[in-house]
Amino acid sequence: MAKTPFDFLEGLTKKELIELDACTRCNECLNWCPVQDVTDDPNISPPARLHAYKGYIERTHTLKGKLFPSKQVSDEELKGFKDSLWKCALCGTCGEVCTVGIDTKKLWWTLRRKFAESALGCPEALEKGPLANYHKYRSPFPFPLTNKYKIWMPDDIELADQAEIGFYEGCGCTWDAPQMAEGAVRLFNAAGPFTMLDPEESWCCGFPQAAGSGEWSIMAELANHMVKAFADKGIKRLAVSCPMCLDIMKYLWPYFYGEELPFRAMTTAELLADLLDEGKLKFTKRAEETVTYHDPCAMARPFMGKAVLDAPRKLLNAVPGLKLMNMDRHGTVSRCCGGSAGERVVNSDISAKIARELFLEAKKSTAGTMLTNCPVCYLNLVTKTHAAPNPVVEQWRAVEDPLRINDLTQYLAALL
Amino acid sequence: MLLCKVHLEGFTPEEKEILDTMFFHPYDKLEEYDGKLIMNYGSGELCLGTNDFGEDCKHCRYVPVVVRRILQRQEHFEFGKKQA
Amino acid sequence: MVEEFWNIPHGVVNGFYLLAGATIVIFVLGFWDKLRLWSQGMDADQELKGMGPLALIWLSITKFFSSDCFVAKRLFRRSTIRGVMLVGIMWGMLALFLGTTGRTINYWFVPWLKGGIWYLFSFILDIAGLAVLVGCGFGLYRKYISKPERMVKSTQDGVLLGLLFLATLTGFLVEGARIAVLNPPAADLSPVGLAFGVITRSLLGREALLSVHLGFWVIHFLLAFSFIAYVPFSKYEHMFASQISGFLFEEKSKKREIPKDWVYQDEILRRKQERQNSVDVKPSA
Repeated sequence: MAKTPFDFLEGLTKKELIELDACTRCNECLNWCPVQDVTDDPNISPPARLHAYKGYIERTHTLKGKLFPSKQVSDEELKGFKDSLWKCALCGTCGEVCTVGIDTKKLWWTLRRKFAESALGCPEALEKGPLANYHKYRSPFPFPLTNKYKIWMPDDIELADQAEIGFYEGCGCTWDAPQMAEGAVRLFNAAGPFTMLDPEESWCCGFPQAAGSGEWSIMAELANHMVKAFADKGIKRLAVSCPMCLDIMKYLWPYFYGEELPFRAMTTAELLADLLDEGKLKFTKRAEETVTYHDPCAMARPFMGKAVLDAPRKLLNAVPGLKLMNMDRHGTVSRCCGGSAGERVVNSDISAKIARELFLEAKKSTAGTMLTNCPVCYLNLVTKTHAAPNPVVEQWRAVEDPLRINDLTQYLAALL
Repeated sequence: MLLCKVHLEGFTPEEKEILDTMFFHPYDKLEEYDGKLIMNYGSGELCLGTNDFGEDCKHCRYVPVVVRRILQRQEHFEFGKKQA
Repeated sequence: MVEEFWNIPHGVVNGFYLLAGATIVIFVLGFWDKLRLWSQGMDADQELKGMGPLALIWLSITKFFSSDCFVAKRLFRRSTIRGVMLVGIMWGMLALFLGTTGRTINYWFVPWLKGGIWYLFSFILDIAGLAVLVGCGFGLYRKYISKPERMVKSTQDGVLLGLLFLATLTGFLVEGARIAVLNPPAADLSPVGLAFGVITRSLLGREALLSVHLGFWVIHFLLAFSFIAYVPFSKYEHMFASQISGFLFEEKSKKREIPKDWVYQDEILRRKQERQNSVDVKPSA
């Protein structure tokens, strides 16, 4: 699409304009922001970002700006703002703890979109990576979709042609955390018939492009294709292994599809918990240990709807012998793993440092295993794979794990 | 997870093709030698055949199914860097 | 009994009204401009759909009195002490605003501040002033003395808090000087004003008190007007915006309608139309 000059007001909603004025600079969010934890730079904090953007609008669109014209917003200022915007991992903790309820996660998305649509664009690494890959392969990864299930699909799993229960593994699970997809299909297989899209039909959900790169122009085509594909399979309840896929499915898919989705999308953990209630799933093996659960940001602080906090815990509590304990920061204020929304690609050093903070938090608990349920957490915490070589990442990779870390579904699949 | 540097052998061309689409980040690139491959997955201490859940390579939950399939056919296991 | 413009020469009173008018004009213009800007935003959120400036200010007023905003629920979740201080400033300022309006009505229109009502009125405003003074004092202490570990530095924040603190302090000094000179019976029900009165009387004679009273009266209204005029151009706009953001955030976790009338509308509608057409042409089973 044609790139336009930057108009600060265009495309912002009433709610977002009000939010820019709502910040009291109480500085509460700085105490919770994972980027602040590792950079200690208030200039890239949420209040600083809100204040700066509000200033740009005031300079260009208000009476004050017209009566007392100050210098134009320079390219340097905008470049600094853009850097700050992409130093954020979009974990949404700032909005959760915000004393006046600013929905920052959505606001950062909007501002990223504005940059991507303008001549200033998104960071080059994202433009050339996930975005270019999407245009070529319909995936953020540089590979055709054809063989994707072969990476992780066990030989003994049979997919139904049509079924009420569907499973969407998401690109991140396939290429970055195939262990999660394997665990989920083993569990669904044990609970009854389920189906999945044919690999070529199973496009990306749009999160890496829309959130990471800020490119929303792909969403209408994508949502229409995917919704039709799921509906054609007869799916009524769709489990999504990646919480970020689900987040965008609930937030942007219905908008870009133009109406409510014809199926109920939920996290893998939620659908498995439902199957547990329906008596279709049972864990027979004992697990004599104490585990802790890390709530991934997209489940703890979703764009829309309630946080998914109980379902994973319900599953773990159903395992004989297993003891579950919570970390100090859990639930809606759980820590960020530092991996999401382009952070690993654009600022791998910040990303690795944030992951280390979560490790230190987990280390404080007496649990033997930390479980989580997100491919990005998996990548940043378990395999510690980063997109760019970097001394900070090297250092992070050399740290020995203080405890075992694994994906919830893979852990549970071993207990069937 | 521990750093997996298990040597893979006896894989089919199709499996090799799939493996090539997987380990592409700078930190998990596969190393090739004498028609074999060396895994480079995970971090920290080198794993010598038993993961932190006590599982051997053939049943290791951390390695993707495609790799486990190769390992389940394999009889000899080597770990670490290739010999000079 | 209430005494308006005691010890204030006519010329100063005229200046006061002139500046009050100018302040109101600046405030209204600035605030209207802000409301106009808000209403220019897109209508993606159903809760704000089609709202113009007047509807937005009405929403802002009604949500101010919502249980979430009026007792600063979200702030209390994070810090009790800061919650208490905010509520002190918020309720205190509201009481002072209503009180000033009440006195204006009393002076110009209907004299209603008499007897017991006046004593109660006097007492409430005295406590309201104290709440604002202590709240602002705490804010300044937190900002400049205890200093949170992480903080976005901003001169504006200090200026705003300072203005409000000094405006309230000078208000008490004026009241104190007046009480010191007149020793009115209602002083017993203005404990803070009385305390200031006792202190000033012990330090100054009658003539000096009269000068001090006039001087601080002028400083007080200059500070108060500066503060009011500054509100729509500063972060204190949050007093109109944050109750709306807080309300919408709470709505988020409930069932919400999907956004509408937002970006990429043409393409979305075109695709939806194509989809419906393709369903229409399908032969019936």
